[in-house]
Amino acid sequence: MKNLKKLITSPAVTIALFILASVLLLVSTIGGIRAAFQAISEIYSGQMQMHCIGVTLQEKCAGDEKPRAVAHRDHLENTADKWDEESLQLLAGADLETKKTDNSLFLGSDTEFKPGKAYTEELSVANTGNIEEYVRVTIYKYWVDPDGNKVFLNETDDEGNEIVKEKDKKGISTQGLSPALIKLNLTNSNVWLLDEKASTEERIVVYYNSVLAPGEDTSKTPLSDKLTIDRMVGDKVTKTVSDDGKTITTKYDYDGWQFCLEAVVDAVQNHNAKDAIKSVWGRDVNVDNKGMITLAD
Amino acid sequence: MDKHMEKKRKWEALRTGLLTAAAVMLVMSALMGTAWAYFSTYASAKGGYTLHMGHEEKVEEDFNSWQKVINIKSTANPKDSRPVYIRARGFCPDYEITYECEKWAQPEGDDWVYYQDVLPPGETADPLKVQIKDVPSGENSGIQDADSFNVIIVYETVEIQYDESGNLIPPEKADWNRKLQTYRTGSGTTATETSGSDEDAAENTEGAGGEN
Repeated sequence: MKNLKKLITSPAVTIALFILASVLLLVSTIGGIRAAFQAISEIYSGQMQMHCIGVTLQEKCAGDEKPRAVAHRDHLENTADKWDEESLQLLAGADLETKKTDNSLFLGSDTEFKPGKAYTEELSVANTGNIEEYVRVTIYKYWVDPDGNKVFLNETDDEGNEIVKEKDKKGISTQGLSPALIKLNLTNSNVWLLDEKASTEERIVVYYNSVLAPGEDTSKTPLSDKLTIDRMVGDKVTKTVSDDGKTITTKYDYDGWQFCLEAVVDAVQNHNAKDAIKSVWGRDVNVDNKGMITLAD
Repeated sequence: MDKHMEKKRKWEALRTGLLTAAAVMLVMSALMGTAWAYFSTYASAKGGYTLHMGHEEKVEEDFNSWQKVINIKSTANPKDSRPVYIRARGFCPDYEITYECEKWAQPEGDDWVYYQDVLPPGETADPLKVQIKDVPSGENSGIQDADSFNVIIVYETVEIQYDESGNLIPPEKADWNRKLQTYRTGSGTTATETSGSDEDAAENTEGAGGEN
């Protein structure tokens, strides 16, 4: 026993442990790189089985005959970590193929956005890689004030009183202008699973319940169909009446405010899906033998 | 002996440091393995529109032959102003009043008369004529002094509204309930009212009666 203790506390054992840890770290690093090398070597052999993951966000508005690609990020073949990626503006009739924007595709004949009107906004996802994948989409909704500040909802305490934060003191406060006034109507809830735990007034998270094969898209079952800004945005009004009572100036409190819609699509490999989704997205899911996923509680 | 103890203390400190570094590296190696194990990617896009709202109207009244003629003009710069709906109602405690104008309509059971067209920026609505009925005349009429006779006309304007299909909502069916912050300005006088109800929210202009 005494010899064992002496052995453990000896400098030689300590140094050996340190060297072992260093080797383990190096081996784990080499393992990751080796996976990329293997994939590249397949291209050299002519088998064209390079594993490239890619995803594209698509939009279809009232003026579109087919969905347009507005953002994509695809892994480039024969590279370890190079990506073909581009992002254009949403709700502006932007097209990655033509590199042009055409607001009339979204607005139609309107010269400006009309609160209350439901505009067609079909969001879908395409697999532009060469491996099967699972996808999810996160929608962020928020307002930007005329000074360009992104505004946040005030938090409330248990009694419903607003908690004033430092940022509010700088004038960044919605004061009743809620992201809920930006209404993106979700559709096809049978295939787009709403993650109620992760969704809030400002954020919507939906998971496509099936594997998306290379070249396939979800345009036949888009996750949304209409976008509306609630007319309540015009409810807060300041009127100024001249002293003679003859001139009435009406100023809307939220004149000049901008609504913003942001869509982020994430994709992950379908191989070892349960662990991959947990690891990359942090979400527990169940995967059946047909590859259909359901959200775990 | 002291030298030996000093050497031992130094060695223990070194050993502790090395073991800590080894532990950190082991944890890092475990994490790195997980992060590199799966293919993943993402793409994002964002967009939005700025909302333009606001308008300004000027109201002028003429009174003659027991008839008040009201002209409402949108005075704001067309670039900064939006088309509006208009509605009005008259208050006359002693006599009946009627509204006369083709482009103004009073729905059944509604106290307001609604301008049936949209009032675009820079344009004037067809005048609304408010007729005061059955006012007695002559020395025994009881109306000796024109200044003591008041008819109040209340006006409201609201930015035009659309339904979900993008069609204009008829003015009488538009949402006229808004939270108003009202300021009276000019000549140094100010007053503030806040209300969410129709009548309280209305801006009013008083008109004085005159001789027949």
